[in-house]
Amino acid sequence: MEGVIEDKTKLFIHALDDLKNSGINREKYLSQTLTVVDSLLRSRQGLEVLYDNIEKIEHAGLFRDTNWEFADKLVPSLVGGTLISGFPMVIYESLSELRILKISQGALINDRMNSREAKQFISEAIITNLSYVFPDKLHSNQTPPDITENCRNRISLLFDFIFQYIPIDNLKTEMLKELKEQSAQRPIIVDRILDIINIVKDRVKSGNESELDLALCNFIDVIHAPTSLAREANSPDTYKLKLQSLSFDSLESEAKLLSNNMRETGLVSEYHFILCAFLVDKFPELIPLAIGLTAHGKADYDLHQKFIRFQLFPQILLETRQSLYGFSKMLNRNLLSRKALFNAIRKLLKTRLHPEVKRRLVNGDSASTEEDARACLMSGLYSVLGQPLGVGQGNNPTCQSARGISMWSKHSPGKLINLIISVVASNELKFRFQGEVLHSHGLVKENQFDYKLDPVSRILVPHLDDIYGQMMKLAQIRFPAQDPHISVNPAFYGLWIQTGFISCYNPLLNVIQYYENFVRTFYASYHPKYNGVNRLIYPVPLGIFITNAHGEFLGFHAVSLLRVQQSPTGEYRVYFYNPNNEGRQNWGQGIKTSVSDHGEQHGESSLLFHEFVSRVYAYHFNTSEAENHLNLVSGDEIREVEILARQSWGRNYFWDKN
Amino acid sequence: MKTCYALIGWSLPVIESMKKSGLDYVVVSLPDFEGYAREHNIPFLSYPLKEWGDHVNSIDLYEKLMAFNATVAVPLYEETVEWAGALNSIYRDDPRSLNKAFLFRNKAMMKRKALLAGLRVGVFEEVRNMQQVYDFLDRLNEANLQLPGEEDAWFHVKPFSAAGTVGHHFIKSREQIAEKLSENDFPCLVESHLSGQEFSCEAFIHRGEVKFLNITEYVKLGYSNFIPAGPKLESKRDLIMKEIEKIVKAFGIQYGMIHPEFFITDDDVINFGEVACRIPGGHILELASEAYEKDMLLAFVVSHNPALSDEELYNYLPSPDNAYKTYHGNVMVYPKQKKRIDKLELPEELLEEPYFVDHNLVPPIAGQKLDDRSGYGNHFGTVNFSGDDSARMRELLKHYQEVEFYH
Repeated sequence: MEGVIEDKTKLFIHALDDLKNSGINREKYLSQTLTVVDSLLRSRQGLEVLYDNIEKIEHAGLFRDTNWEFADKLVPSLVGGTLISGFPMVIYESLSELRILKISQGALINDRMNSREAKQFISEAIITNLSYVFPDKLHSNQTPPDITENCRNRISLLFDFIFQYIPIDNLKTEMLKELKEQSAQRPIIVDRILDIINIVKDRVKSGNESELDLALCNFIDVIHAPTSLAREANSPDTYKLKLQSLSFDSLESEAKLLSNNMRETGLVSEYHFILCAFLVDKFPELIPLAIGLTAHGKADYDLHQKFIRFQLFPQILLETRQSLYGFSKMLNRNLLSRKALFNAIRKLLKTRLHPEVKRRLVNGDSASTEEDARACLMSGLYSVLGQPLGVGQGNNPTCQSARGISMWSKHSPGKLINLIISVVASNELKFRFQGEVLHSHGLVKENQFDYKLDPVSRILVPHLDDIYGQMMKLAQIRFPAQDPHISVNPAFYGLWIQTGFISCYNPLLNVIQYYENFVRTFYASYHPKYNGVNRLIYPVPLGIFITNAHGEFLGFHAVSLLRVQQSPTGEYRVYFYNPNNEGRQNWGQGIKTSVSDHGEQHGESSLLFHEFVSRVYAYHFNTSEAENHLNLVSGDEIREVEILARQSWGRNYFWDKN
Repeated sequence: MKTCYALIGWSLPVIESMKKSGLDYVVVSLPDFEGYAREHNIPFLSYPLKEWGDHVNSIDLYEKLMAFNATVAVPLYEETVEWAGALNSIYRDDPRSLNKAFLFRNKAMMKRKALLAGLRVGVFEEVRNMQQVYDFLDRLNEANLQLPGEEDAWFHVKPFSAAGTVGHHFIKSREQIAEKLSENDFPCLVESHLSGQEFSCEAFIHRGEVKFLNITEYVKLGYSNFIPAGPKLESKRDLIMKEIEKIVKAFGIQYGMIHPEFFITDDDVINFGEVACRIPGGHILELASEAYEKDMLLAFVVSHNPALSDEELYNYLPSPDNAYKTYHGNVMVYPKQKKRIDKLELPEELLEEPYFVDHNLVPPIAGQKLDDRSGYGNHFGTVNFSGDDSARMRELLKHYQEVEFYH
């Protein structure tokens, strides 16, 4: 074996020299080098050789003209996906990790990244790619990423090598932070949180009684040992048996402890579900306590107890237990006391599932029954109705649809359930637009659509996206000179959307226009200092320019403005919903969206007002109200926004003098 | 004065060899390559190398090349063979050089010439429409004394002038004529199937004599080959040499390298397939360079130069009496299934295979859909091997032409 590595090393050094000296025909030497690196990457000794020679690799120009050329342009969360995308991406990506690892150890100097930044990159790459790093440590419900044995081995080798230098035990602080911030966003899909908990449980040593270790243990306990009875039982089955002989008082205290856990973390353990299932049957009077109902929620429960106990609750299965959280929040919203909603939910319970919808609900698992699929659907409905801001778009370019589901859940739940009924029954949606009825086909390119979504999104999004696309096309044909969102947004989302619409981008001339007025109108409409301290009535859909950590333009995105308020420290902040699955983003120029500690409610993102405005390109507003406040807005604030805009996405556009 | 070689066409490996050799050269190629050439200090003449015909003016190119003192023209790919032939007619003061070039470019003319020279060729015809193909098959079957219910004779359909396997159809039954051929394939050549082990030769010719002969053993035409040929094929070298000499004599070849393809049967009958005089496909000269530890691309170029003495030429050629024992081979990789492919993955056992050298496979464009085409099309790259046992080499090449690298 030793001899083999030595031979490969010689070949490798030789290939690097050839590559370095190649003038023409570089491709030939490049493929020779990539071939031998590929084989070195598949053993521990090989990784050592590459790590030792990473500076030579840089000097030979291997990274030249590739996406990996500049270390500071790399994105930690993309590491895992790149490692499984085959040759030659996996080669460059692995070498790039080795290079950054070496920078982090102070053993390699890079003029674009220092050792602290490198260390941060590696820990972020590990934490955001846990499902790739530890594919066998995932919690049971989750399917690991679709990768070959071969590919899985090389990823494990690479990270085991990295852990020699940056032990996973040293990442406890980052893991705790990640757990807290993820849970603060209260996503409907909690796979990532559960993954971290499982990995901390299995892979991270904790022994001492430090505050950090205790806090991490608390998270583990929420899932694995939420009460002393659960700890004693040590398995959900034993716990179930023990419940039979518990006194009312003890049951009451279990209920209280478990619902507290859920309220604080947004997570539901198997133990919690088992307790609730037991109580629904035997001690229904303890249910409000066990699922954490408020006085409002309890009133609804009392009124609809039979319906809730015998029709709604049984739709939650052990596998869909996480929806207990949404269920509790849904009851607290008193939705059942709205006659229309009560009827809509009853109708949905009785609607027969279209075969294609069933297939999508159970992820193509042909062994699943109609009951399984319905349970999945109803659990999903509870989650969406209980956690409107927990809806995410997955890896799909469907921010408008996710935003729609979230908005309807909050402001028009009846419309949302009607849409669901229509899709469930006929696998089709109908929307009226410009006098015509549009039909959705809801076809998606199977291997390009990410189904890792909540069940409601899984069945609705393909149709919504189709309808939205049809509306945009029609609007563009009918009014080519006008931004199609003007008419599409109200037709798609709802007629509450204001008729005023302004965009700073002129698509016909491809220029940024009347920017001063654009920003002034935004301040006049939405900043409490200028708009007469008015709060938003409905969320405002708006379009933003997404920029990366260097402030460079990446693309367009849809978010909704929820509220503008002073934060606990007195600064004006914009609180908004971002359908992207991760609310924490770095948009460059020091603009980092925050999800906690600045007055955010669960699921909200927030930014300082002027920072937010600097990324907006289109929004709706009330024309007659804005007019009265326009002159109040200070020129300094507008200039501050304009500088941020021009120095980030603005560099990609021509700016009209106006 | 040093000889300046005018390289007609474009080939980075050849240009690299010329750079290293210190010989004078100028590349004549399409304007598209000019930027690259300037960036890398490659002497370059930008020229619209149109398809050869009455409308092209080789005198114009000749005059433009005078600035470079070019005296030898070397074709780099199939479509530049006439251009090089025309220039060499002037340089060598031999008007027939161009006509000889035509021989290489028209497969029907080539076959007829070979037939006249006593080479063994299949029954062939030039056809202009579908009906003529059916008639050809009828006559073949008739000659084979086909009885009702017996299989049809096998035959090949090839365009008159295209490199290697481009546009080639192998027809094994009457039904396949309609399935595989379309009106766009006509006019073309049809030829009865020749059986036997496939191989090619690279014969370096100077003053009308074969100065070096390489035999390339094909595992599968268009997919895999290795150099030098295995012992069985090498043992027929003298027989093969006789066939090569027939071609050289019949075609009147004085300089350059020819690349004929043959089929040899178990009872030593050698059938002639076709012959080209440009750089062969399948990276054959690169493999030969590895096998003989000589730059065979350079040998290809200089063999076109009439001014070289025998001694000078031998400096560029491998010594014929040396025993070359290490086999160098490659597999050209084509994705197997006709479906979407997303990524390229190298099997672990390939990287651990002692004979494996390297590969230049290219990743697919995300979600690339493969064309449904009956020709060979473009391959996605080459996997290279080397080792001491020709049987093992054959086995590996056979195996890896079936392995799916794309998923």
